[in-house]
Amino acid sequence: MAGVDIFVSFLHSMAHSMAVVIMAAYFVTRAAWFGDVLDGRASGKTRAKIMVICGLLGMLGSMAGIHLHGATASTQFLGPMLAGLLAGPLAGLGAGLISGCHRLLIGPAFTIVPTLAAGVLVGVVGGTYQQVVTRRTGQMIGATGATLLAILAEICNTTLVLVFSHSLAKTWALQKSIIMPVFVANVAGTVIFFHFIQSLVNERRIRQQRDQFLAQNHKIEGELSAARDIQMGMVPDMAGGAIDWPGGRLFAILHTAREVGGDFYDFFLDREGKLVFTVGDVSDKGVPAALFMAMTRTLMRGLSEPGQLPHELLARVNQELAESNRTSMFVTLFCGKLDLATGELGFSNAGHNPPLLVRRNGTVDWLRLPPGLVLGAFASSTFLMDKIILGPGDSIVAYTDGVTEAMDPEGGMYSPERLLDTIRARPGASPRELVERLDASVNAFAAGAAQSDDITLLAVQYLGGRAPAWGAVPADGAGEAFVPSGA
Amino acid sequence: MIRQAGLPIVPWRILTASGRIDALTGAETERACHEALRQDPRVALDLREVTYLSSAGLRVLLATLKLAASRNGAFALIAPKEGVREILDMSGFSRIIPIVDDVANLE
Repeated sequence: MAGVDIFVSFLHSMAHSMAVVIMAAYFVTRAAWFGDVLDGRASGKTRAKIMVICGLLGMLGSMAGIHLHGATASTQFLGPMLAGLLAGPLAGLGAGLISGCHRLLIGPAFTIVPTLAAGVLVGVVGGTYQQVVTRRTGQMIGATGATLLAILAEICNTTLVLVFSHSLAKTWALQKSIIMPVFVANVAGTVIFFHFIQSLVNERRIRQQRDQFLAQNHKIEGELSAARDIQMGMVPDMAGGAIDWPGGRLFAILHTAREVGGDFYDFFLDREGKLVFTVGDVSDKGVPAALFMAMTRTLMRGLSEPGQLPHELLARVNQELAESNRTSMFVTLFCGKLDLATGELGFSNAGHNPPLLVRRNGTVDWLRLPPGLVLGAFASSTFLMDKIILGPGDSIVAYTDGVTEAMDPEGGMYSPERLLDTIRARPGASPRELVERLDASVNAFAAGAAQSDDITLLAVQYLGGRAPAWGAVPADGAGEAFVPSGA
Repeated sequence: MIRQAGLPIVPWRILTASGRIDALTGAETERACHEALRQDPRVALDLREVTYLSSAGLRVLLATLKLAASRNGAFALIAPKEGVREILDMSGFSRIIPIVDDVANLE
């Protein structure tokens, strides 16, 4: 055969061999048991499987190769090398023997020993690497190391063939002409196979990390959910509708932006029979705000005393908050104390948004607040109070800036003006109707945009004397306007 | 104001913020202000280009004010826009942090 013909048919055979190697690599690396192989923990059965598969691979390589009187151009040694690297010296040895079987059939006789010897050598060397390195460190051999091994096998085989050959010159001439293509093919085959292995190793590692991450996430979600339950327990439940007392009625809503948040409302009758109500908004969001909210709400309840003025309560709460505050968090707060017998409302402010005063005759205005710094900033802060008299049917609507700063998809804000207008549209409504209408209005305005801040709305209405002369007002206040006699 | 002859006039270090100061950008602002206070005792934050201040932003201002006080320094704000000014007024911050219209008015 002319030199060019040899080269071309060699290329053809190499392409064949490569195709087989690639296919084998794909299926082997994706087998279920391959994971154990990579970890160096393959069972005897798995190692036997690998020995056979790789042995056959080597045999196929030999069969697809070109053999010219002892000079061989094939990928026959890839099989035993892989067997050794993946499953140890015994597998490498076995695969070396299996892949040499083809050689047994086709001869020439003097090449049998070299082929078997080279195959067994590369299998055992690879297997030793596996035992010494892979089993200890889990590190699979890199493409470079594998390539060197492949080259070693070829050198060994070529050398032994020349040693055993009867006509050295002729054999050497043939071998010389195919050395380059053989190296190229073996290097390519090795690199490709180990590229598959590397990407598989990466895939496994990423999958492990992802599973770890998901498990952690799940745990955190569970804790947040539990925290939410605790926090919602601190806010009076309004599921049963508006709360009624003789002389007063209240309804409120709280929507947190996340599982836990920094907004809160609270109310209770103190021992004097006055209704103390609060709306507050802690700086920031999430878990830190929730912790600060819990502190504030508990202090407000714990430090409240009958006969105490609202600004005195704020000062005491502020002092406690400021003293245990390393991160400069604060809370804005509006606190009112309503005498349900007389309609006298004392109130104090700590940096909070001005509530709305809704008179029974329909006028709606901002409640003018005494100035006050947010709670928690400086222990020595002082606060002021003011007083107004509510008439029967008058209401106070308090809220947090999650309402006025609610955003629509275009980034426009709900704004205090819209809040005012929405109430003005139908002022003579019960607390529940007011709150629910405002809530719906904010929702409609946001038009699907994500809620970025906690939303709190609270409405408290003074009903006047204990035995109203002007007809009963429905207990849940649903949709009924307050109508005094003569109006 | 009467300055005693011979005493050096301590200069103000001016930092300029822009855009929103909120939960996302607040950390960066806080870092810059605290870093500045480490080197200069008097730091002023120019708010001319700040469009919005969230409660997280207010917290940064409060933390900076406290840090300045602990170092016997000073912290001031320059020319907040109308909306930002409203936030500073409502929260009461405008009465604890000095606010000036112009750099020249810093004492």
